[in-house]
Amino acid sequence: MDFEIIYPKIKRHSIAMLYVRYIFGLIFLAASVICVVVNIILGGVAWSVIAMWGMLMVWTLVLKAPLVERNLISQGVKLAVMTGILLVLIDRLIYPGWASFVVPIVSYAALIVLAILFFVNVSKQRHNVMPLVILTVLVIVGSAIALFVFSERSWPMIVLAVTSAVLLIATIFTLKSRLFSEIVKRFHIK
Amino acid sequence: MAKKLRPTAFTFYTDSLPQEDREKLTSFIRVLDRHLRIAREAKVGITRDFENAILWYSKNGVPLDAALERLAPAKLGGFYSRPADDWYPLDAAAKVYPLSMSHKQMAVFRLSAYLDSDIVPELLQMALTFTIKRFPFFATTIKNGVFWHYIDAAKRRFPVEPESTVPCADINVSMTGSKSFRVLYFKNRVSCEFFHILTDGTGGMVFLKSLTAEYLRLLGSDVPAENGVLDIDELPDAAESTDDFSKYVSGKKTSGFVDKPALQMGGKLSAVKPCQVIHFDMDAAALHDAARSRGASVTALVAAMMFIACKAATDKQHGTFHIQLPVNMRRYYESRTLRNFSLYANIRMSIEDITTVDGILPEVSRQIKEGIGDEKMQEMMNAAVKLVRSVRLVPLFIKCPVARLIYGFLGDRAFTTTLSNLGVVEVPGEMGEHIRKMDFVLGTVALARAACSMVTVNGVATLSVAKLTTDPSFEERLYALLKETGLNIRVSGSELYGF
Repeated sequence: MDFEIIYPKIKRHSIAMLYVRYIFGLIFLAASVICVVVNIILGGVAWSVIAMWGMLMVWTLVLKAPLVERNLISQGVKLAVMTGILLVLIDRLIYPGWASFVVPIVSYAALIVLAILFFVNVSKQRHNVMPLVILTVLVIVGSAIALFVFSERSWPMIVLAVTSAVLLIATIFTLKSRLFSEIVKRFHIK
Repeated sequence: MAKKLRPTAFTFYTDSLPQEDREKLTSFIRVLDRHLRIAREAKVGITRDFENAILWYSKNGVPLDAALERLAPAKLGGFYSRPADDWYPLDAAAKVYPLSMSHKQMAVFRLSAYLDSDIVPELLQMALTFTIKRFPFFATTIKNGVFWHYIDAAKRRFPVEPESTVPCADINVSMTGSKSFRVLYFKNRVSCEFFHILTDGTGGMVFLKSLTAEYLRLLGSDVPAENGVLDIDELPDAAESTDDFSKYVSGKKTSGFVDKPALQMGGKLSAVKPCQVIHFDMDAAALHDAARSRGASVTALVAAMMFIACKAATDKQHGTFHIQLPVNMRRYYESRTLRNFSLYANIRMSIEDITTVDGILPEVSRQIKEGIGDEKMQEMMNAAVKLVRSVRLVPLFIKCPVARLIYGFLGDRAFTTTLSNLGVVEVPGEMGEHIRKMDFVLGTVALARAACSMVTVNGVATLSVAKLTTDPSFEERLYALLKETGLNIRVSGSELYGF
């Protein structure tokens, strides 16, 4: 069956990323299993959890990019949350006692960077604001619990609570009714 | 010190004009500026599109007054002068597409029109800029909600692009303001590729026809807004963007979606999807006569041939082939929606029962008639809406992996191939003079080695096959069967991609 070619020569269709993802998926899976087995055999602290979390971070943030809403703010929020969890894991599993001081500082830095990203281009970034709002609310709730329930009154925690509250108010003030309509969209069940 | 701008071809052109024309042009640009209250980058891009179109007209001897009339900024309406605040929940059929998409799989389909001369990109760009306002739910970007995805208005420049990738290639919908469709051109062909969340074949065809009509108008033809060509200067009608599944759901009787796994054709699956596209162009009247002489419809005749072609494309001796037939629900219900409003019927045939076209045609016709009956379709629609409602409070981060798993295990395995027939497409006479043919290509899924689709315009029926394997048995057998019915067939297509 002969036929006429009516399509142009295409740019080499890149499927390299699919292979890279596949290979790294296998490597990470094998490494996770090896870490757990070695950790169980040798005993001691559960360092394999930290190793696996590190690999999950690389997988989530670098290799398996989100298919919807991949932007600096959403990726930044994800990085901040995952880094916070990593620090808490290290604190709890290997060297305890410093996370309640360091995690608020890291979170504060992340909030400031994300706030700058948002406020320098509000007209564009207002479409991406929701992850930032959710992070800010979570940070306020988290720091309120730390301050008032666990009486964790270190200066980084106080600075973090104040910064996140100011950021949330500034975001509400900047977006006004648009923030409300953004919330309606995000929570719709139609 | 003010930065000195490099003179562009448009600046030279403006400088070459007599004073009176220059004033007209300045006034035109001023009016255009008032219509573009969008991000600077988009504004610069759209303004440049206007300039390029004016230059093209000038080079082709169209007087400035005529050019400015055809490109009147009023045709933009208020689309680009108002902020992007609209949003749309996905319809019941569309909800599954973002849930089940992956880095390897995206539901994209393509509609193309072949004109009588090569496409002028400058005018096609303007045609798209003028047309998009009439389809506001196409000017959107997909977003994550807590419970469902939704599409959010995105007022940006929607560029037309020269074809440079495989047909129905994945559309990058991940970035801020990413579009969910693309308009491509190659030689005399203009193609629209849609992510299925936006629309189905019928809605996509209305868009393609309206875009092509506007393109022809910009070229100087007088194409009326009729026969499915929308008047792009009219305001969008709310009925065109409604979810008619929810509107017409009634009764409690439902039918299940789960089907037994179908026998698949053989052949190694290609990594590039699709790895080839093939079109069979036939005389529509002759095809219709061939079907009628056997007491069947064109869809039934082609489906019967596909069963035989499937048999030729496997070494298996046992099992059942399933052909999925998308069904346009607008046939059953009064609907003006341009969003998804189609479901599907399955026809099945055991490999042992597949003999000859005439031998299996009565059974294929019976199954089609039964499968697309009013009651069956109503039950399926009830089931679809019920399913959507039952999981509406499950968060997206749970729904996504579960849907991907279920779709991977059940959805793709449930059918061997697809036959989507858009039927006879009507176009205004003035537009028909410029259209040689159209084609409709379905994106391939994970397992089905071939996806078939068909559309007829101006007396040319085009059956397209999108392939997922290099094994040519299926299309060769299909071609031989079509030839055996006495049809004169012109075959065209793409090279094998990725090999």
